[in-house]
Amino acid sequence: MYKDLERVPALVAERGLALGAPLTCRDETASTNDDAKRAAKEGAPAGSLFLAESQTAGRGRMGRTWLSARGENLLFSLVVRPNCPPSRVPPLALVAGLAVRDAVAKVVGEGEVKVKWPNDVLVRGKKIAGVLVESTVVGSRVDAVIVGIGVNVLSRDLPEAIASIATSVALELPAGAPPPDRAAILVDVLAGLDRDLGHVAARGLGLVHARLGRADALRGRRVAGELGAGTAEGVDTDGRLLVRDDAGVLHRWSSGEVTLAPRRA
Amino acid sequence: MDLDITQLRSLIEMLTELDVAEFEHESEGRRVKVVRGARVAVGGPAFYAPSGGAAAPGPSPAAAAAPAVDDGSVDVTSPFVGTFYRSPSPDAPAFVEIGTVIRPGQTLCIVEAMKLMNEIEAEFSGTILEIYAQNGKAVEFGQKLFKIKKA
Repeated sequence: MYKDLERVPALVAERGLALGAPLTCRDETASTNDDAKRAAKEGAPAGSLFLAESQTAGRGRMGRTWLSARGENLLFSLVVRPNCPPSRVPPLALVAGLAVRDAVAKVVGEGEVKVKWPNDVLVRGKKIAGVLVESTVVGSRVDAVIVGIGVNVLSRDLPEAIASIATSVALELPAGAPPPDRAAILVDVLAGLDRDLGHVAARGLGLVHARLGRADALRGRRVAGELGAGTAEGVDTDGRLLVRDDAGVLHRWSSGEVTLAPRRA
Repeated sequence: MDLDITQLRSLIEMLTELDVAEFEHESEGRRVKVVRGARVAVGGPAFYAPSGGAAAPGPSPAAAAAPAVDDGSVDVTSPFVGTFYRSPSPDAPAFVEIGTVIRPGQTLCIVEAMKLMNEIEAEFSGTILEIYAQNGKAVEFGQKLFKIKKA
């Protein structure tokens, strides 16, 4: 573990968080989500946190790779065990995006930090963090939910291929500002999840719905997905994306990749 | 006072014949309500008519494995609205095929909703008899995904 993250256990304890311990930190792993998933199957307690300085097989949606330079970013996965029916689990993916958004906004400023449905975090339209939530359902019982998060924190030299579509906390700070504090950002994400996961699992998105609306990067924008195209009109209380097609019909999208059309001049 | 099942049957037959969608009758503190295409509900005195057909009171309404007709097989259903995937990534082999012998805890498929990848695991040992859902297609809550012959 790099020195700056050594404060994490103390910060988790100090803030009395139910998430973040026990902490397993690896210099390199295939994927923190896989570590967390394996541990969850072997009975790891709720709140277990798996952190790595680099991933050799970091994953995004449907097996896409997630790249990160060693020690520069935050790559971690949490084991959550919500006591709720399976139908309550998908909204947790939105809570994860919101928790990351709030932690990033605390450092770079509230302005242009948004969530692209369901849970990519964007600053001025560029991706700064990604979330991959996986769950295991056996019969009608939710065994575990794995919340995997990657945040670009210290990276200043992004690979050319993604420099136009990605950013980092360091790149969003004014020139001359001290480098961002990885431990503080991590613990802020944990605190956000700690506050919201439980009540959303128990009662749905009601209490976070207004915040999701304010953070919505897609509202009013032209979007396209596997199910068609139209104008995004927010997120409903089940967490589905509302899209109005050109005939004026309102659709509720619950899955699939959504792409944003460029802003019209 | 019990409900006369023969009377109820002829009532439903008549409503079906006349294509009546909903019927409600109340007398002597006893209420009978029949809604066709949905379920039969009986109010008034504590009395419960089994709704519709096969489903006995299960472990929960969202039970993912529902007993099918008594041939020792069960259907695994989707726990929510989402997209059904048979493999962990587009170029990976499918989790299971027809004829695959499964054990408890084995992953059968992924149902994705809101980018949450939900692995559906087998509750028991058995053999996959049928795969109802199509890879990459939307599935509804409660939609049948697999038919499994219990070992």
